[in-house]
Amino acid sequence: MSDVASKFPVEMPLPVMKSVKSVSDELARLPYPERGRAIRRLGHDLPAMFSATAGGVYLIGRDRHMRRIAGVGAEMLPQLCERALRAGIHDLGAPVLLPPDRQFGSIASAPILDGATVLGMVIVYRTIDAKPLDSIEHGAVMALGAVLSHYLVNRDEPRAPIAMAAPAPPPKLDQVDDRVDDPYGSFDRDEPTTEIPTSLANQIRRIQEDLSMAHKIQRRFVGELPKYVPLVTRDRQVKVLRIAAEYRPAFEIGGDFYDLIKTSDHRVVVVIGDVAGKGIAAALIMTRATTELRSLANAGHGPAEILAEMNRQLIADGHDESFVTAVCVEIDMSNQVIRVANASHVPPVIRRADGGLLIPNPRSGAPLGLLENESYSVAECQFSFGDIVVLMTDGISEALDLVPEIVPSSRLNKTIAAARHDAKSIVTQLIDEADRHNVKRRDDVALVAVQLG
Amino acid sequence: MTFTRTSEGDTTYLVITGTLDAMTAPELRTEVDTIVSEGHRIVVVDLGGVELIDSSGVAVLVALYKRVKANNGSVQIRGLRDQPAAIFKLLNLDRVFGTKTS
Repeated sequence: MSDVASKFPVEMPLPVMKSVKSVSDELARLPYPERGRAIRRLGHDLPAMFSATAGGVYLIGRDRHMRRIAGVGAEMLPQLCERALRAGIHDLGAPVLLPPDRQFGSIASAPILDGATVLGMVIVYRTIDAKPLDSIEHGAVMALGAVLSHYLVNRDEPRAPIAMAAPAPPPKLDQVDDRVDDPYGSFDRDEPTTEIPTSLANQIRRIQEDLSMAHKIQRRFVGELPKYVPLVTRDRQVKVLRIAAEYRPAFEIGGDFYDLIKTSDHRVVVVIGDVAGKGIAAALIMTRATTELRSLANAGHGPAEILAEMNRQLIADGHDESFVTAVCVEIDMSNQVIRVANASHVPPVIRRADGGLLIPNPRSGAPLGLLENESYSVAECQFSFGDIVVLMTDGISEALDLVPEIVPSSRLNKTIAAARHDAKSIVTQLIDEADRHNVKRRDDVALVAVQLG
Repeated sequence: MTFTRTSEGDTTYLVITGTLDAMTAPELRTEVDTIVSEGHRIVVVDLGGVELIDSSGVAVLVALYKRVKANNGSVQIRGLRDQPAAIFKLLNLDRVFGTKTS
């Protein structure tokens, strides 16, 4: 018996993972393009849910035997999906397939699945090492499995095996299929290859759009703020905000986010936040928070109302296990006022041209998503042209590194005070400092510095 | 990380020791699921033996709080000290969980 055969049972009871189903439910509820972003995040988190013994893609044929496509990593999946699609996997009907990815070149004409009928696809995945799954394809693999399993569950057909395996029980040796070693094992060929139904083709195209949008959103929302934003003072002088930002995701995705919204010719709202908890909920919450934020800011709400409303939304969304710390800053160039509200987050720091620091300190409210009807306070202060506001995240794991004391802001303050007086230098210095002190960085680093004219 | 759960009358006590972080929080999450599905309404969590907590650990406790509360129940935290106490204070969670955080 081959080594491969001894590892992989043929008929595995494949319980649906409750959390996988809820993932696909959630995904289905998200509008495009937020869904793309959530899928992106899922790619980081779902693998940790599965402690299977090996990675690969398995196809289940009509004879109910499961075959492993040997040597498959996630990067092969788009091609496999294409093949499976041509083979009639539309039986399952779910929008589970990726179109071929141009990056992998043309799809070889595959003898394996053409004309076969495939009942189900099982994706068993583990992270081989501690590296995070970084590519969009990996995220799509996971999301794909989630959607597939959801569909299969809902179809309520006993013959449809379920995807996404839990830890496999030990194989029953007498049931092992010798052919499991053969990557191109034969399938039933009595079903002709069928055309892809239009609806499925449309769904595939949407998934492809979602995925490429996820790339764009990722780069746009977290990492790319405009570098210059002109605002107008009361006496119609133009003052240009100069903005520097940096986002460094770490191994464990912490769900940091930031955004800067120009809401009128004299007003800008900047937010930075940190979604606690890992995993799917955190991913979805972050997409939710960033979307809500824009519409609230544009509707003219002030920082305290924005946080209060985000809090209400997150509570209404009902994610049990997560919460968001955040700071909301409003910059009003018409009267040179900064207003700050804080939901249990690291307070922002304002650096004056002479290196002096001002830390607006409103009473901090509870993290968003925890307490119903929580209200937030605003601290207000005048700024001078040229002052720089620095917003940052400071994950709890950073605090852990400094156990037993919680990170005092003095180290950060000293770095800000010692830097050159421009947004980019401050961001660079802070990143360097964080890297020096936090060797096994386990949380995202996110920073935004805005020079006020 | 280890935990034990006991009952006295209507009250459920959950005593946790060790480090409650991203690695160990998932085990506790399963216990939280059980506590909630069994309908316990008065829950006291003793964190006196917890040396270290990170945001994942906090998240599981928050989940317990929200879900028991949704069942018209309440969750108290006792025994917070050192780093966990500081984390709770940082996140204003001492307000969320009530004042028994000594």
